Amino acid sequence: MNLLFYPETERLLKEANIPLVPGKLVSSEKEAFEAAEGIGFPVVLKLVSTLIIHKNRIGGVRLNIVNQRELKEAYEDLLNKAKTLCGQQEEWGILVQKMISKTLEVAIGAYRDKGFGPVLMFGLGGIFVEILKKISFRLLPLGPKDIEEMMEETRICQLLSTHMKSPSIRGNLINIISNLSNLFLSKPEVKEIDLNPVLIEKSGCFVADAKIILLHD
Amino acid sequence: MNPKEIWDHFFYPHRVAIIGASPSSEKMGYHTLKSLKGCGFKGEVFVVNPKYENILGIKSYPSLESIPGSIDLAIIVIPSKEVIEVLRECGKKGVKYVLVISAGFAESDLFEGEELQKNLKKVAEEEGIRIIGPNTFGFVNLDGHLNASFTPSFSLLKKGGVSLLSQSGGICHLIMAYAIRENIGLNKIIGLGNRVNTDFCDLLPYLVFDESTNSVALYIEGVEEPRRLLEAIRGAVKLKPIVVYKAGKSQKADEAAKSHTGSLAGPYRVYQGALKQYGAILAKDPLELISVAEALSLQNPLKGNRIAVITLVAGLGMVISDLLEENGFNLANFSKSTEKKLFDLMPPYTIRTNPVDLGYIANNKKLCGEVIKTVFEDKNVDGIILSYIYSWSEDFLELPVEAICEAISKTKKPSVMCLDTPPGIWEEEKKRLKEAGLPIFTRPDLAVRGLFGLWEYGRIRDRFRG
Repeated sequence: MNLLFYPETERLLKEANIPLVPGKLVSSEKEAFEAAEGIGFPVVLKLVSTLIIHKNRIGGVRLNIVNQRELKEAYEDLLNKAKTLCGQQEEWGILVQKMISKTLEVAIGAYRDKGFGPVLMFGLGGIFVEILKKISFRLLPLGPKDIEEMMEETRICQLLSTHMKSPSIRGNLINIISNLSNLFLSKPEVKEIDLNPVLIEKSGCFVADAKIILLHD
Repeated sequence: MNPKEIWDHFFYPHRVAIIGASPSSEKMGYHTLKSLKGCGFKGEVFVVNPKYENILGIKSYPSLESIPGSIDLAIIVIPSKEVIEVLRECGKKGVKYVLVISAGFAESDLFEGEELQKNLKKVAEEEGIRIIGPNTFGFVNLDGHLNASFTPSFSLLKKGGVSLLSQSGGICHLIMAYAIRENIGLNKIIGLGNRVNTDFCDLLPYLVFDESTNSVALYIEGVEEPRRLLEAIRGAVKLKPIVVYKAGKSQKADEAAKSHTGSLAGPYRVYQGALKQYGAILAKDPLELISVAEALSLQNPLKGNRIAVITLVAGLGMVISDLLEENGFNLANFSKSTEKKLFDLMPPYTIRTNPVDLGYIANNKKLCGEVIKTVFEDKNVDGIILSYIYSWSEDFLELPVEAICEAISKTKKPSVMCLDTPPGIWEEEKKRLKEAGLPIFTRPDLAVRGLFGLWEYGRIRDRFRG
């Protein structure tokens, strides 16, 4: 597996102007508490590692932590999981993130297809994505009209307008898609980027989780 | 090079030879010869089969070489193992354009199938020969009165502006029967088969250059280099509309596509998105494919989505209104002057706004015509759907053909008609309407999809012409 470790993923996304949910990688419970205080409760704790692709499946995400007592319990839980799952060689850490009360989750991804070359995927995220299959694809590079059409096809346009009137949210989302496209096209060594979920709330759109997989080690 | 310089040799040849023609109806070579004999082809037809001196009344030559003079197009209908040798003979005789109908190549379970196809490609390259096929029913050019296929019935098709490029011969046959019944006019129909050295990307530019083709329908299962195909589509749509049906939505169909023509079918959803991105109009099934292409071959693209519905019966008007809404259209709001005119023209028993109901004035052909012309001329109307039904008897109900034709030619507004009749009814009227450029569909959903195609193409053309 050539999964990039969190700090590197974070750096690449920041460079590309893709907004992440504010967070900090910590290596002790004390640091975790300081980070949580800095960000402000409630927070989310996540086990991040170059080994773990699906954090949820191993219980590596603890949502809505409201105080120090809960933080301690969650931290210890994730630490234990890390010790059982990750060997000496793997990089891992615990990420403290701001808990965002989102109204809508979307997923944005890019990958290299054998026939099509670079492809962009955009769709409804979270638990509905598998059932509703509201996903749309375009080849990269793409133009603003393509992004608009993807938002139409997936009905995210309509969902956005019922949840949020602000046109800036739509603009934020379009920016993330186009910045991700540019990032992916400028990095031929990257095999796949997956931003899922991207949380949409009143103040904007934020990437809560991102995976970047390289073609080679 | 202008693609016509290559491909006109296939579609407008003067001297054609069938290698493997046969007097036995068990052989593909029999049917192929029947097609060529029965299509009104103006050129010369030669047959090659060393076993016979005469086949279906035509002198049979023992070899290609023994035919005096040059050959423009060779059609090969013999067992796959013998094809390569004949291709060498084509090379020797200077035949550069060859249709290989024979199956038994990469698509088959034959042990040597893959190898045979590789060799075919190699020999074609060495001899500088263009091949359509192998493993195809052939191709048809109604514009050139040429039926180079193993199915004579393709010659029953009416000549029109739609050309069909297909990865499946079966789908061409399905469309053929449908188009004959619906009176849809086709121009060139090509089964690509295993695409040994002729693919979508080669023929699409040709069809764009072809003056007798107005719109192109593609049936795609999957190609090895989808980006090349997409680029070809993007280039083509600036000049002519391209409608696509992409097979392989279900997992099973995707697998079947892989084995079918020995091609690599890509993931369906990426195809859908990419085709749209590159300017193709997507069809939901093969009949919609040909219906939308028909509308596009006859009518101008729509400039907006405000549609007027003129109907003989309120029920069908409602059905069409529902379908219009589903497809993103709006029912046009008539201008004040149209409203007034319609109120003056029509009695108060009937709907005089959009959808306009002609029911109560149906037998008054002149009045119906006035209403139709008024609606066509409204500046708030971008496009029109006429829906007629057959009722009472012809002695009572007449189609206002002249008024419709006049309205179309005067306003040039995109319009389609939904009309189904018992066999033999209004045939002359339907013919005249079609000649005036009005596409007629028996199903209301296809009429609306036809109109949708016109709207899509309007947007595509604006976008890609830049």
